[in-house]
Amino acid sequence: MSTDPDNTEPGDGTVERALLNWAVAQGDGPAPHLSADRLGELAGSGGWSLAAPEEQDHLSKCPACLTTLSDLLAKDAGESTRVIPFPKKSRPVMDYGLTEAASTGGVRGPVTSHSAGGDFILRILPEKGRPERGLVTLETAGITAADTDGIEYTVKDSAGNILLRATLRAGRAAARFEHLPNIDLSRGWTLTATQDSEPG
Amino acid sequence: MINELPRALSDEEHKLISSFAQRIHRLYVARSLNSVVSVEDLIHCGIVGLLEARRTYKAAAGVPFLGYASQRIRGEMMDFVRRKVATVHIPQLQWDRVRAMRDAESELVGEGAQATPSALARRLGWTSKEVAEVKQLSPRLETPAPDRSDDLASSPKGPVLRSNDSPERHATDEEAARLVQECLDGLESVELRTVLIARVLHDTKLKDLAKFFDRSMERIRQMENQAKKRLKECLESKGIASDDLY
Repeated sequence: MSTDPDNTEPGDGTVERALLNWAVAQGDGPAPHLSADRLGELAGSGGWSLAAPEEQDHLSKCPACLTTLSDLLAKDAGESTRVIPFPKKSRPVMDYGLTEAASTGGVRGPVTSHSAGGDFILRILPEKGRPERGLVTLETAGITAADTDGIEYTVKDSAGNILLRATLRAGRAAARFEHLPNIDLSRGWTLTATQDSEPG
Repeated sequence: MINELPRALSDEEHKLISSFAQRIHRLYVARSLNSVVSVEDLIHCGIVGLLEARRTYKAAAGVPFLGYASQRIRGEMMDFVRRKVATVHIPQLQWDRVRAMRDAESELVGEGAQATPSALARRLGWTSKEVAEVKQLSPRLETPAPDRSDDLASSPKGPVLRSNDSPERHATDEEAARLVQECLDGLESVELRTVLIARVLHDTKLKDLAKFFDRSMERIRQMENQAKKRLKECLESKGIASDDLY
């Protein structure tokens, strides 16, 4: 039996799915919103009773404001806001990068892009004489290779195409890519670590 | 030309994307026998949603950035799941309305009259808007073949919608959201509604809500359970079950 006071009985998912569906349909939610400052004022002991009736009504209907409030309540309680679903907190879970030139119409020349978190470098190197093909490499930069060895990472372009899915060894991974003109980096690239990969 | 220096993901953004991805995967994908969507796929969608939020956010609109971003992150993930799902089960209530409209059309045509939207509205006692919404659903519905017993798409509950990124899909989603809103509005109090949404959508801890509402943790837990039960009963009374919701 779980001793976590927040553990609730798992249902069939009807209520959760219904609320998710509803939340997505709300878009930005009803205006006017509560400001960040106002939410900060309310995010404490007895905050609900400090809110005016129209503020209470808004909070009950606005997923965006309730998200912010929940985050502030957690901070007020001194809770960590980072959720790391992997065994070791030091391993990066997700990151992204932007390219220096808008890459619409595919990759036509070498690309070097640092991830926003500073931990990775993505390179795309077209093959000489066959520019539609090339090598995609991922290497560590701001972290030690040991932190990422054995972890599988997936790099995707803006359209969700997989550029590389490989396990890092000595801080590096590489893969051939056959259709460089199809790569879309117009809004950058993303990197995620596979959840159940273990160091090895 | 993209000139901006990329800003690293903040702890809050990281947590939002991680928790949304795991929740949506657990709710929609983990239960599906033929799922091809991973948590990592959803994290990718979350990052895309966040970058879009950073690009389009305007502080003047009054929404705090984290809340604004959360909607886009969640929306991007849900759009991805919906695109990947092969079929959408139409809730029985909606199917009943489609059949009622088709029957009314047949009647009007049989009487030599034209089945215009206004004629249908009069015959059915609906508003014009209701007729238009049901008409959007109607052309794309098909009843699954009876021998597809191993196909997740087949269901004794009713017909399925085969196209995902379509006006019909959006009409179904909007209708479902409208019914959920009706059920939320029917909860006894604003406080109950807030507890429910905070606990279910945001995993807000009981002790944080207890402090916020100045109530005991046990009372908050009771309120959550009460609200869940009421909402589920209301949804079922409107013909909506878990498999109908995407």
